[in-house]
Amino acid sequence: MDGIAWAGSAMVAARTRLEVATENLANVSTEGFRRVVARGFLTPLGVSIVEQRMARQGGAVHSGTLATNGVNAIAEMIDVLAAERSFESAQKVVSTIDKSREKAAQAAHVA
Amino acid sequence: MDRALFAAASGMAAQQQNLDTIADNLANAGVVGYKGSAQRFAELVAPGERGLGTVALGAHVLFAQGKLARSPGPFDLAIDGPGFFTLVDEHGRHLYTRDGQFARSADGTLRNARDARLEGIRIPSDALSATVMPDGKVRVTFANGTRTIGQIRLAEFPAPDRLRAVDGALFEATRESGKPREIVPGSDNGPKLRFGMLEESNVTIIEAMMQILAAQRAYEANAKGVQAADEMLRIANNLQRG
Repeated sequence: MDGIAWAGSAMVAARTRLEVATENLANVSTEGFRRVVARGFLTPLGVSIVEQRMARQGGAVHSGTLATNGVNAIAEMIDVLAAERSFESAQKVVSTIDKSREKAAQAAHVA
Repeated sequence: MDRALFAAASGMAAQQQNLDTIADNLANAGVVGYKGSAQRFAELVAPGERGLGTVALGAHVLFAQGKLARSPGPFDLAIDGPGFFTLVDEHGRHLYTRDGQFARSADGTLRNARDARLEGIRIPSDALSATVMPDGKVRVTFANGTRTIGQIRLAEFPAPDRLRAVDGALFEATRESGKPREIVPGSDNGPKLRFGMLEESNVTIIEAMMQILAAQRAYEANAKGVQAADEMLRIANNLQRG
């Protein structure tokens, strides 16, 4: 199992999570917008992430009012922050594994 | 990250335009017959349903009825219901408005503050006073009695929200709005004219202030998205150093 590839897949997942959150935030005022959600799956090669469109928000139509599109700005903001932090931790894991391998290589050299 | 950066930036740009529209509404909240606008947004979608952010499609005018208020003007009129007054400006161009602040000019026509005249009505010079009935009939009192000298008709459009705003509360017909259709006020379900009243702007200040707050917060949230995307790019660059 390649730890770097695992951590790398977590970085990609975090990136997708940020993309999805910014997409939703950008469309917070768009009428009829269908919210996007990022769903992560664990696979033997790491974490895999897919984007899904939520169904259009149903309900009665009232004249003179716009339907809200189901985007919760606060939840999306938290997602932005969380994505940033999980990207950062995954990057730390990649760097740590890389460093330990570097040490191992040096040890092998000395021996 | 490029996608996140672009989506967040497009959100900021769209909210900026939204704010421009709201500020315009607010600035005209005191203009008689003014109709506020709302910005419309659409999602930018790449092939394969991947979103790329948002785009502001432009402002469209909201023709909701404004509140009617009593007015002391000499010839103030308000439309209670749909329709527009038809005006003719100095170039013979037809303009449409719901601003009914008219005054009698020397030639007997009713003119607005910009000197455009109300089509179809001329008040004789020997008239003592005039009043307008809900069905648009202009009743004029002379020294020897009262007579009806004409009827104010209103214009209606197939698609009024496609009219082009030319100035304040004045509109011009466009190909998309369709040709004006004349309607006679006063029918049971149709518009009625109110003499001695004016229609206030349909912008409510409190609502506009709330929209400003919402636009500002949405702008801020998108700015945070830009920051986060930027920060993640920085972290990714740190991978190189190990």
